[in-house]
Amino acid sequence: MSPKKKTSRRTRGATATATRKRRMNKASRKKTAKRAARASTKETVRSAAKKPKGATRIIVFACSWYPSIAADNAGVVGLEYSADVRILTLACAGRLTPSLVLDAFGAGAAGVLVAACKPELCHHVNGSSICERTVAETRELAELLGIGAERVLLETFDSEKGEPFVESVESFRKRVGKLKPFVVEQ
Amino acid sequence: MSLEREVKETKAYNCVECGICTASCPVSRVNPDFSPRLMVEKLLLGSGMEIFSDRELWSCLTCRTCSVRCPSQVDYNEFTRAARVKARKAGFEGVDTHAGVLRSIMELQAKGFRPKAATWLDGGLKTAKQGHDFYFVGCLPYFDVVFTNIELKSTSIARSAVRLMNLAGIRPVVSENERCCGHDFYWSGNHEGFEKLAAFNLKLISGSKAKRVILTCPEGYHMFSEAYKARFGKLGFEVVHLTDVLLEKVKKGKLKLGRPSSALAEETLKVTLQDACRMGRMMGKTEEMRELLRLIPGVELVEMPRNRADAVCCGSSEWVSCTLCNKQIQLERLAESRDTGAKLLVTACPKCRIHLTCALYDKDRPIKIDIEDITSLLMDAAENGSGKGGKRRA
Repeated sequence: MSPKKKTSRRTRGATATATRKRRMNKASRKKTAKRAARASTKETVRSAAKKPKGATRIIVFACSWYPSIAADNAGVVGLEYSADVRILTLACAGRLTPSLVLDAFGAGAAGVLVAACKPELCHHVNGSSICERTVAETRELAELLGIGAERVLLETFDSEKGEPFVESVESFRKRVGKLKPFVVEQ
Repeated sequence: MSLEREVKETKAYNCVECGICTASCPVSRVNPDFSPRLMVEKLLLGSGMEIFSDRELWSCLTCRTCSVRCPSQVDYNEFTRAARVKARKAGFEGVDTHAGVLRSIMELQAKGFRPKAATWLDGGLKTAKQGHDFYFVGCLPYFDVVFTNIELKSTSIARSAVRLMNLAGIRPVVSENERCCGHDFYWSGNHEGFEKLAAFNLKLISGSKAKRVILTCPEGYHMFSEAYKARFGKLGFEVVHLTDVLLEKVKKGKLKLGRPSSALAEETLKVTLQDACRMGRMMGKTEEMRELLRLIPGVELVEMPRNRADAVCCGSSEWVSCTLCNKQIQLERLAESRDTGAKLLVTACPKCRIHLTCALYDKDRPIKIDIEDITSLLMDAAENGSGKGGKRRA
């Protein structure tokens, strides 16, 4: 610990105002960090969904437990899947919000695959079941917005093997590639 | 970035520091950090950056109570809007509510995604592809999905509105491709988004050959009648609120109102009305709804102490910054409505209904009062009045 910090610790409780000020500073620092994190999530989604013309960009929101490790293992054993696929890792599938999925479509994605763990295996107890509700809601919104519910899919995984992950990603990409493109007016 | 133009346009230089704005503000009452007067002072001292980076810039509900009461005619409401436009350009944003889903929906629509949102229409409702009257539904279908967590269905308002129009002999145009009116973008400083949405909607309406646009949402009504006109000039069609149309029809005897089903069991159903900011203070229309409510047999209208132009905002707006303070405003308003002895709180705006229902949706539910939109209540009365009662639709 630096000597400067030590002195500031020693003065704790000296005056009520000073303490409150310090706390407020701390809170505002935390808030700035939180805001930066949120902005970067948005930015990540946007940059991942950018695509060359004609490509069927697929965004995969993968939970950092089974699905994300499965994707890594697919790479380790040298399984191939389309280069149009971009994987974004979430701390837990429960972190997913409809806004993230819709923003991906806004940035140019053709389909969004949500890769979660099986609900009974969720590391965060109910993250996967929260994700189920979120995806159901998002599919309804996608239908209303003219994107189509079939472009949003939830897949659950119960192993760290690469094969099932690659299989579901590839079959989803093929299915989305065959769909009629949704209308974007100018 | 300087705010000189805003000072001129909003007449902030007239400020006499009397503090009526802060004393009237529903937000300042519960959140001492927020003060319209302080904001105007900062503006006059010329510290633009300080205003932009202030988190409280996004706490304003834009309910216009301060602007209405200001003795020096400072338009604080307009100032908030203009400052938010510049703050957004400087890289500041409010905190989105509902994890930003409503912002995302509006952004996609502004980008040109063509919605297919008329899924709420059912077979019994008569609509047209082209015609004289256009019914602008707004965001109701999206609210149905987003607010399942508080068990609230908003499209019942749209169904009621079309049914009422059918009963009054109007066959409205309903388009599945209509977009958000841009109200929330307009007031939260995203002016480009608002302009895009407005242009899409105007193109759609001109394609339907409509000469009159009927709205059930006060926010859309205010946007069409003021913001669209200010931006695009003459619109080529008339903008009316559904209550105006219905009042005329009821007076002419073309629409008959009976006892609503909730008033059948009792002698009179006591109701109280939550005025919408966009309707009462911004458009100056408070009496049409009251007249209609008084015309329903079996319904007695009791007023809350703060009514008409003094009505308190429902506590949240533009889908930004909803905090405990907003909840406090809502609970106080709900307590006020309960104290009138009314059994039913009638809201004029779908968003008021959402916000107040959300505040009621606490586990302990401290206040018990039913909340219903004025359109649904009128439909109930009209169905019973036309002798086709019994078959009640949503």
